[in-house]
Amino acid sequence: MTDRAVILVVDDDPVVRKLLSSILAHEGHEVIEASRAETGLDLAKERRPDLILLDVMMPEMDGFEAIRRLRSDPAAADTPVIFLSAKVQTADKVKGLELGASDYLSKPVDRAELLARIRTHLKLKRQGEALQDYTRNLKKMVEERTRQLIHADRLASLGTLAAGIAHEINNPTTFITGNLQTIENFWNKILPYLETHPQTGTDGKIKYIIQEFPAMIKSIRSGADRITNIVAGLKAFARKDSSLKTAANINECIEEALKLTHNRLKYYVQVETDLDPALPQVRANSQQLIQVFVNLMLNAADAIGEKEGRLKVTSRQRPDGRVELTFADTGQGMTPEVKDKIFDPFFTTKPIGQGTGLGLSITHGIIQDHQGTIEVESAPGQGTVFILTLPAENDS
Amino acid sequence: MTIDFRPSLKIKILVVDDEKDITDLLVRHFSFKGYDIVGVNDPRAALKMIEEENFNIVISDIVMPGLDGLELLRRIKDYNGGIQVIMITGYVTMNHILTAMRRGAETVLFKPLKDLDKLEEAVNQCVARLRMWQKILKELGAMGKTGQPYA
Repeated sequence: MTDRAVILVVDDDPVVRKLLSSILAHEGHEVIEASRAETGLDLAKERRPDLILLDVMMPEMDGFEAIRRLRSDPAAADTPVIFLSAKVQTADKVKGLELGASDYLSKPVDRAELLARIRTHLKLKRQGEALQDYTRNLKKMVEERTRQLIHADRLASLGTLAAGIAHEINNPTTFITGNLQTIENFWNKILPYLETHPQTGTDGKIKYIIQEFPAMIKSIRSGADRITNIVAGLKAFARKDSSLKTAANINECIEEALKLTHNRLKYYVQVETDLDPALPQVRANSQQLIQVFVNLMLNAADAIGEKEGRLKVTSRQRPDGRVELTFADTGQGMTPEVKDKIFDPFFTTKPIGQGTGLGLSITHGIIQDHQGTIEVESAPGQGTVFILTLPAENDS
Repeated sequence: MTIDFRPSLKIKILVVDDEKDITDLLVRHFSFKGYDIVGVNDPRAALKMIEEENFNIVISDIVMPGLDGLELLRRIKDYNGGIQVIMITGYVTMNHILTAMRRGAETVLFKPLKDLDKLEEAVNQCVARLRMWQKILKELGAMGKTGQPYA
């Protein structure tokens, strides 16, 4: 098979150019011609040829100067250059090679030799590029994996801390909520006596107490309830032991979550689903998964805000057997700094009081408990995609 | 082990929790509502009290120093399977709940006991069950007196 390539021929002799062009074109290559070194350099910059045939002896600027300039451009540093010259002195060959030429051909050029050398250099160039790609990918994978490991480690430490805090706060919260209920009972018991006591009518302070006491209890209760919810969230995030799991239909869980979030989504979010009807079941606690999906849907609605947007939910089985779900929104997206922290407990971008910062931490905890993975792709203005994978029922 | 044949069984409740604030609050709540209830903070002392006094219902924490609530549950049930035990815990793990269930706890309630009515409901269910057994035992006693065969 012939490798089709873009080849730049730089030679001041029109006959040579024509000859080379016809040989190369016959092989299927695309040929660009230049009669002067200057033009050749411009074309090299503009067209980025795969290979350059460069005449050494040219007026104004010779091939040696041309290659020196060409190599100073990092983008052209690896483009193979074959020198063409009638001069066959070894000193010239060495000089050319030292300046970065890949090869040297003597004029008159032998057709078979020319093509053979071009093939070799194109092949070398391609292998070099493949190697560079490979290295780049490896580097990217190592960076990504390192980032994931650091992240997982941080979440694990935060999980331990969260569990500790949750348990420490739990008992004192019990005294508060428990005693509060008794105080209410006590209050209801003495209230009729207070109301009918002769002094109550004359003492403004007693009246004030009777009026304010229920509001105080209510306020203490709402504070205690908030603490209770945070503690429950922290525990869910830090939960070490597994929940009860049965074979679950993930598509049904998604549909259920969509029903639950319908009221929140209906005004601004256009929901689209692409659910694989042949999706295998997943060993799961479906209530927890629904909680996860609801959470992701509500986050999408928040990211979209009060303008029209779309949320697309998909499910499919990946070639490796795992079930993959995506939740893609057209919302505001996240900066890399925000993206890095979204699974941390108490991290929130929502105004104070509107989010505990535990939603995605809990989501992460639940997905981990299901031997799943959760990843996020996002950029400001580009929307956000959450990608979840879960092991298929018969795959664990 | 003694079987109580008294005509109207007086229900006695023991609360076991290493935190005095918690036993205090439960004793306060339930005695205000008319129950006969005592609190204890050392689970080993609890076992001794159960052997010496006739408690019918025990409300116990799970994670406690000295003696684990689930171990206390096992020993109570070994001593007298008729004693009803309600577990309360802040450390909600699957293992704790399954163990409590297998060892015969009536129920497990999670701290922070946001709704004491739930605990009261559990206590009342225990009372109802105790009363039912009491009735059966009374019937058996009556049968004995009339000379009918027991079984």
